[in-house]
Amino acid sequence: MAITKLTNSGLSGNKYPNLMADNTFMEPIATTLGTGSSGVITFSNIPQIYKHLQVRAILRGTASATANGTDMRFNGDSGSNYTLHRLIGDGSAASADGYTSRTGAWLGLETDASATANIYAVCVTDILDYTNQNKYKTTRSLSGYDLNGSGQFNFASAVWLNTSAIKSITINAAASGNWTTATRISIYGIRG
Amino acid sequence: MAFTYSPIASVTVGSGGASSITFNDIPQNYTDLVVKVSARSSVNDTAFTVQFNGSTTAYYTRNLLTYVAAPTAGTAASSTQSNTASASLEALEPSTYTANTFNSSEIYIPNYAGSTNKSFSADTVTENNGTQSMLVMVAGLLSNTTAITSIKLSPATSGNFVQYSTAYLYGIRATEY
Repeated sequence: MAITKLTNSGLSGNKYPNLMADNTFMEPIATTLGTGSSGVITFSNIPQIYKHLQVRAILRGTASATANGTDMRFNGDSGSNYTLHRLIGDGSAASADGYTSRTGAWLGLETDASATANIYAVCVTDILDYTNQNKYKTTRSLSGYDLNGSGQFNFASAVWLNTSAIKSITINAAASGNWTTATRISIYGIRG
Repeated sequence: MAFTYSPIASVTVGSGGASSITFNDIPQNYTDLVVKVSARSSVNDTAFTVQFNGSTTAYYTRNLLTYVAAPTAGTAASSTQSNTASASLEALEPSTYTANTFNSSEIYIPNYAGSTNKSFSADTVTENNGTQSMLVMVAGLLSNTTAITSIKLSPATSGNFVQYSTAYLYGIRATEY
């Protein structure tokens, strides 16, 4: 008889709610926390078995500002091989901007030292077909922060002008700052 | 406990291109559907559409979009469609944009198998190393209570999806079997 269901309902003792025999194809690859003494977080040796990546983060740096944008670099590429286009809302107006020849792909916003304490920016960034060597790598990002009186939301796109499969992602805090200790960046793989 | 992103089907467009991408016979045992799209047009077409169950009436959308021209700032705008034959999600990567570049889109369809009208949302971007690019967020409605069993994606005006365009259909289930 085929096994069609697994459940821990009714079990006593230790339970393992994360036991999944079915349908969890968004899988955590790695999570890194800020240390307070480094502004660089790198995810290396990204498995090539997924179709898409998703980066989820809460970000706060130590730069002398309220907030900044944060970039990611793929496969260590720090050349001017990225673009950025953004739709920006700050609660009173909508605006847009765009850039070419950037040295990183936009990840999202980070709050920094001048922002209200304990408030972090959040972001979710998708990278579809990250292993496809016939495509440049387009990213799509939603990010924002709210300081209870001010804030910003960004809907952004970027492209890495390179068809290589993405095998590493490096995320640098803005303005040579460090990531605070509650900064958390997670990468997920999505099968297809 | 939610079961996330169960792959249902995927399409990769071959060397001849494709005039549309269709997912048929969608299982009805999920809670929501997600479609992830990475596509490019064979012509200068900047929009693509979605249809459910082959229905060609009663689509409504309201979007927030911007065309951004680097390095010059762009302008945000909003528009609506009423009672159309398909829902435009805008932001298809046209042939005139930077080569090897494809859009990135996610379409979310909650309660697709239920008996209410079908609401959906989409956020889509194109990219372009140079001048103009697009970012679009869409809220949509199919004013039809039939459960969704098929999804069709098409370029809005002409041309095909080019080779290496992809679309992935996922099911999200809120509970165990």
